[in-house]
Amino acid sequence: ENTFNFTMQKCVYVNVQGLQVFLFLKRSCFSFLFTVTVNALEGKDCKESVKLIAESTNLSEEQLAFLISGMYTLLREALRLPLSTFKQEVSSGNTWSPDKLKAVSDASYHLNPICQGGERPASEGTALMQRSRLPSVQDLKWRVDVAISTSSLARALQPSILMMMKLSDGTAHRFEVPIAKFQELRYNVALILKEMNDLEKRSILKIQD
Amino acid sequence: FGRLLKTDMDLNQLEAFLTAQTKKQGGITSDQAAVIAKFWKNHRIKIHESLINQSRWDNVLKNMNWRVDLKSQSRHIDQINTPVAIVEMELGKNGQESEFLCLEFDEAKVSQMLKKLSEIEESMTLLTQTA
Repeated sequence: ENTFNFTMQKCVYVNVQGLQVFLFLKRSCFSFLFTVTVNALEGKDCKESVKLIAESTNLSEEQLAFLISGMYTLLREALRLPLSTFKQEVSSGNTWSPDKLKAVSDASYHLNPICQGGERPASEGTALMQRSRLPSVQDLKWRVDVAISTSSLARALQPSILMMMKLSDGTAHRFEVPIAKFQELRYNVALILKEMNDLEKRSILKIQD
Repeated sequence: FGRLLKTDMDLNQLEAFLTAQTKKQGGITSDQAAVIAKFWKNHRIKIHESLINQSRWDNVLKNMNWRVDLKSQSRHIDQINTPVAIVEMELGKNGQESEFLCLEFDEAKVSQMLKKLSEIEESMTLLTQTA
């Protein structure tokens, strides 16, 4: 629980300048800024909406950039933490002046529903998409061939499988799988699934706070 | 001998074939026939395999290796804790250098894959039954 508090304090501290501006912002403007930041976290294009905000407020471009980037950092760090570690804690017992404290509680009023509520899955999904990974199989097409006769064999009659794998990185691979290899492949895939299931049961390996 | 290879004779066919050859003028002696029969008995399956392989021109799945990992953390997420399978497939043509394909599967993808493979298996059993 402390980490978030700490992280939040750090971010808030870094953005103290920005938060002082918060105090003079209308609540509607604040939530507008907030929506933009959440959209950005979800990977949407926010150029237009930022332009709109810039036109509708009397903030300078620099102040606006400062606000949005600060909010972005704060939210990203908050979302990085798992759901279970979240507690509705507004920083208390610190040495901040009352007006700053008011700003913080105002901010966390908006922050909490995002981090805990229904909007979290969307931002989490984006984070999952952005992480580094190897290509995965997107589509698998197959065909069973039986060679009847070939240049070296009058009667072959041996089935073999032709597979076409489309990967998430856009490449496609075509290859033949002899029967013996196919059985090996099937066995191994089944084994992988079993291992994965077993791994999930052994929660001892999990990192949890 | 070429005919022997091409038609992949079984032992009965072979005997008939060799008897015919010994009786033919300028054919083989019965000693030679016995040697050929013995050789064929021992190596028939191996020869057949290699001949089948001769008519594969595509990439062939040669080998696969895999490993199951538990993802724990990433830049954007502090705790992921989902298993993931890394699979390496060796694809290559006969006598050429292989290409290694590295893939990542989550649990859903693995079971999807297994389902497809079962489908293939099913269709193959159907084929061999009707044949």
